[in-house]
Amino acid sequence: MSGRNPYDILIRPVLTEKAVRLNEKENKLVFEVAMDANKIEIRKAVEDILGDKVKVKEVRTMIVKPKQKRVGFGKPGYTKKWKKAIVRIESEEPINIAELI
Amino acid sequence: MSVTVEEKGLVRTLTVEERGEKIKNLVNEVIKEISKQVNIPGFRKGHVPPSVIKARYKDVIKEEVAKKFVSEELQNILQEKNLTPVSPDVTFGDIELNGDTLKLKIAFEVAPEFELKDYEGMEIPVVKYEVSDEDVEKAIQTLLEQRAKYEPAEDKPVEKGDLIKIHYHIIADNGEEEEDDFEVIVGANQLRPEIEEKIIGKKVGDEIEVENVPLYDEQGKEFGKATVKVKILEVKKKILPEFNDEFVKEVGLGENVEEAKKKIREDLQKKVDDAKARELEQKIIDELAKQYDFEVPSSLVKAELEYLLQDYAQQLERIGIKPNQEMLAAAARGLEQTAIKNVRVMFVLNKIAEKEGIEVTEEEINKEIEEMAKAYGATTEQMRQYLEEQGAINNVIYTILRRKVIEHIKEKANIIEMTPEEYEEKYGKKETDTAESSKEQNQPEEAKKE
Repeated sequence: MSGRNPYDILIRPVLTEKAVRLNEKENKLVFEVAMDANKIEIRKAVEDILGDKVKVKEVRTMIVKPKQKRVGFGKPGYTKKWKKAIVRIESEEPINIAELI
Repeated sequence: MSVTVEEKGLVRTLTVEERGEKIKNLVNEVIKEISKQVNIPGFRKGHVPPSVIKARYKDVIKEEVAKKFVSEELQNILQEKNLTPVSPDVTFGDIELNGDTLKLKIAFEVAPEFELKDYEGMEIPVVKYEVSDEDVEKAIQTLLEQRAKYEPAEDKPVEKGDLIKIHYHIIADNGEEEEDDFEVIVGANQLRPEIEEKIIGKKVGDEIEVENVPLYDEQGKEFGKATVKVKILEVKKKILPEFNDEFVKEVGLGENVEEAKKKIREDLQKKVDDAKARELEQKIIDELAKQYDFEVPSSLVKAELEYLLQDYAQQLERIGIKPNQEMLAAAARGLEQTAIKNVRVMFVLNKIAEKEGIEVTEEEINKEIEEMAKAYGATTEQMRQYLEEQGAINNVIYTILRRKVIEHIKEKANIIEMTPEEYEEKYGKKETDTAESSKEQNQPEEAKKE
């Protein structure tokens, strides 16, 4: 398939309370991914980066909507629009999302 | 827990390895503490999960766990291995934390081991000095000089000892000019000799001019020449008071001349005795230091050196010189040997005290603190509190102990009294006081004032 670098597809792991909860309880990893990446590409990228021992079971993606933010009174600005991918994996040892950064 | 000890000089390095529940608990404790404080984006404060803290603050956790471990376990380890660090600052490093295994190195210095040498019957030469009539006369003369009054004497030619008011005008070769009035005592080393020479014999209103006077900068380096014009504005003659009953009463030395003389003699004798006692003490210490040559813990030497430097800086400030970094660095090099000696003597004195059963009682400590409080104008409680805060109580104890041990050695020592001539013959000339050298240091500044 496309020869894109896996690190161009997976931009960064998402490290929030919710992401850690998913990581610890449901064996899922949350990433911010490139806007134009599709699920197959994401699956490949995760398997590439995390190595052989990790199998990706499921990939779900969503677009996170930009939110309006205003600084003081000026014109409203927006937070960026980004694509989030929640990847369910299966591996022998648990992958700690905090250590991926 | 496994502990191995490594010896290198006075430094003991312990390699400690501990595993199990205990370390796990420590780690959890540390993580809990950190999670209360940190603010990580994506998490509410206080809700950061341990796994995230662990990943993010690995080094901090390691450091903190080691610190906790050392503070909890060091006493036990030391007891087990029968080691006593010489100062409370213990360093640790090479920390490895892996799951529930903690490995680290702890280093500290121990007191040196040495054999006590014979200190009884030490031969100590001391110069015997009796206060002579001449000394008393001299002291009276100085006293009179201090009380001297100056009276205007219009037509008198300037002599040594006179107080004169002059107007000076300096024209330096580089064009800078300076003029002012000031009062000066002739012959008191306050003026340049070449100027003084010309002034002597002149009268009020006379003017003199001296050419090619070298100018000095603050470091005492010559940086140019100048022509100095001096005009004498006033001449005052020195009048010494007479040493009679009245004068004696005024300065509070008793009722009549005889009494005053006796008092002066007693004071002088006391001064001489004090100096003798100090000299004796110094000699005992020197002698002790000479006998021993064991290695001393560098941490103590460093502390002592710092203390000496502080003392030195204060001395300089007292005579009006602001110590700078270079001066202190130079002094530090010179003082290092002294510091080593002091530390070494401390160990020797402690050991002698141990052997002789000399101890410091609570009462003596209280008395010493009381005296210190008096000297500083504070109450005894304030002094004690201050000392405790500074952790200086041990120093007080050591001061008392040191005094007692030296007293003890003095009793046992063989003190040889001899006249100054005999002493000179045997040990070479005695060093003169330091008053002379401090005067020299001040010279350049005064030269510039002119």
